[in-house]
Amino acid sequence: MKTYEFDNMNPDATVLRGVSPLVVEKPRALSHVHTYGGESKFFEGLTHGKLYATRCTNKGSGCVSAESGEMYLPPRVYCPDCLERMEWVELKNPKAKIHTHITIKYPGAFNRLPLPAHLISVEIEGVVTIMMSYLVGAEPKIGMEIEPRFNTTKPTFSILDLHWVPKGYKGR
Amino acid sequence: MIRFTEKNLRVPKQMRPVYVVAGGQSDYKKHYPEKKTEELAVEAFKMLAEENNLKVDGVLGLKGYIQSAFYGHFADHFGDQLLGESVIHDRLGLDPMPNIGVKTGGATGGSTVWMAANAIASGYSDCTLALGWERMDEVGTQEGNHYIACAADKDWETELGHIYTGYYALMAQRYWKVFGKESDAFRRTMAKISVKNHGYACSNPFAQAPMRLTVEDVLKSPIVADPLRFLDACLMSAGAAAVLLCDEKTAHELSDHPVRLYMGAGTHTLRTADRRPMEIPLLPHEEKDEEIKRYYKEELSHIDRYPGFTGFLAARMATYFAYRMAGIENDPCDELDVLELHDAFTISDIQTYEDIGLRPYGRGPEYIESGDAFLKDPETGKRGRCPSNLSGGLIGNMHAVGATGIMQIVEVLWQLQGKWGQFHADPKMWERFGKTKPADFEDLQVSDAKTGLAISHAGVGSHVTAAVLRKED
Repeated sequence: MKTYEFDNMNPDATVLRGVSPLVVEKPRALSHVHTYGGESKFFEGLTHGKLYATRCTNKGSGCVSAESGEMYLPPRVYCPDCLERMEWVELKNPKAKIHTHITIKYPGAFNRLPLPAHLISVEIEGVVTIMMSYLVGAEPKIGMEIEPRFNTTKPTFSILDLHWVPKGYKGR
Repeated sequence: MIRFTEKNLRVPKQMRPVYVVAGGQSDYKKHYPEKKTEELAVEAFKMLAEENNLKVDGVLGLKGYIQSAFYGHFADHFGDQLLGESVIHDRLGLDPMPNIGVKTGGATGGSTVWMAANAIASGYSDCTLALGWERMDEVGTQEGNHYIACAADKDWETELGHIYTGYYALMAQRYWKVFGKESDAFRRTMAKISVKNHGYACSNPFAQAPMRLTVEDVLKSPIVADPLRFLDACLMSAGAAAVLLCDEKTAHELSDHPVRLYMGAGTHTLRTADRRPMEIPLLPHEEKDEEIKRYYKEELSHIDRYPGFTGFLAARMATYFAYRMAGIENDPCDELDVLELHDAFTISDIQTYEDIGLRPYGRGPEYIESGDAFLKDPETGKRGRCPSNLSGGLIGNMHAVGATGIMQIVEVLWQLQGKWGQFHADPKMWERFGKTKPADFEDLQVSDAKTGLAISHAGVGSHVTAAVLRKED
């Protein structure tokens, strides 16, 4: 194989991986600047130790969500039924349990969860949805009662700032 | 929506009949550096044009019929190419006829054919091409898993592990606990699906992962996300597949054996979190069955919420519409002769058996245990009522995402045309892909197959299409 010289100090430089067929590697690094928009209150709330959901107040309109009064978590800016703006509600001492769970051993690239990670889906009283999060401090079981913990000291400003622990758990 | 009106549920109409006329595929590999994506697409198209006994003069003759093209490509970031549709269309030499790209995650292939079928049904085109491709080998497996996880909600799910298998496994775990009772028997049923599909792949020259396995092999393979193991999961592939759809007159002009096509589609929330409880929409045969209705109302509703994490409402809605369009009113196991299902994972395959009515909700494993799922039951030697994934499916054959749903329709088409052997049994087909026809090759042509079904599925059930193919009398 003929040898070639490349300037690989440049992060965008091409790296030769093979010649027959000709295969090249094209490294790159980039950033996305992303807004949480109308959902910002939720993510900001986590950094203050607060858990916010939303509910529809459009009663008498025939809206299923407004009739039931059930809350949404993940929260929504607009009601999925009538598309009116929803109202923010702080969930204080939510009564929650594990709906289902798994343990991740081989995550994808860019994972920031400590491994092995216990992914859980969380049933919360009064909430119609079953949000995804993660559990710390125990092996998860379906039906296990849990309570939220927040990353208020060094927030990531992402969904990782919320996790759950077994009810009554003393640690973080 | 969790409440429907009659208008929502009106059975979709084709303004004129739609026919599948021809199919073609590349072979499938995890790494395919020998060929560019464009080459794979051209090879699939050439097979479609030249090897389906069409009454035209090869590629040039067929191009004289094509009025529009629908392209399925799941992931711009995997391909690292926006407007890849335009690249492929140029390499096929179909400019300046119109083309459009279709994207619905894992169901991209099925959705592409759905859109193409509607172009025929509406009268917009008399002859249209649906072609799909994917190549997932430009990035490493971990980066690839991140790219796939971008098809979850980026603020609410992707950050949690960057691995789609995890999001699926949450559903799997719930099903396994609620209906599987965490039993070894249930786990073995899951494993049998992997054994079956890897085994059928051994007789498919296009397939990426032919393997003769035992249940124990599957149960001993490494855990990815419990209870899902390596051999419970689908493949990552590079490859392309194509079908030709026509109106009745053109179909018969081009082919002696065109096959009718009916397609329905459904969707559900990208985040499983958002799936609100509702009543089960009933398939035609369930509507007539008082026992199933009683079971759903009095028993199932107390076991778990519907569709929750155990059912795929999108698959239920796709068949809700497609069965009614095609007049499938009785037990689908009696009406369907051959199936290609989206076996992304062994457990989601079981969940889908229920959504599409092969068994009532909660009883999916019976489709495997009864032998219905096999061409020949490995235990009893009896012919199954409606065998599935004789191609090897996503577990044994391929999951080149944009091509997958199209591959399924191609395989069902060839089965109904009695051409399975032409494309799988000829030693030259094996040699074309650098393979040798194996000594343990099995004839997987379903004799007298009249009606087939292909299910294409995305996300953790975000989009599903159901294609019913029926041979003319």
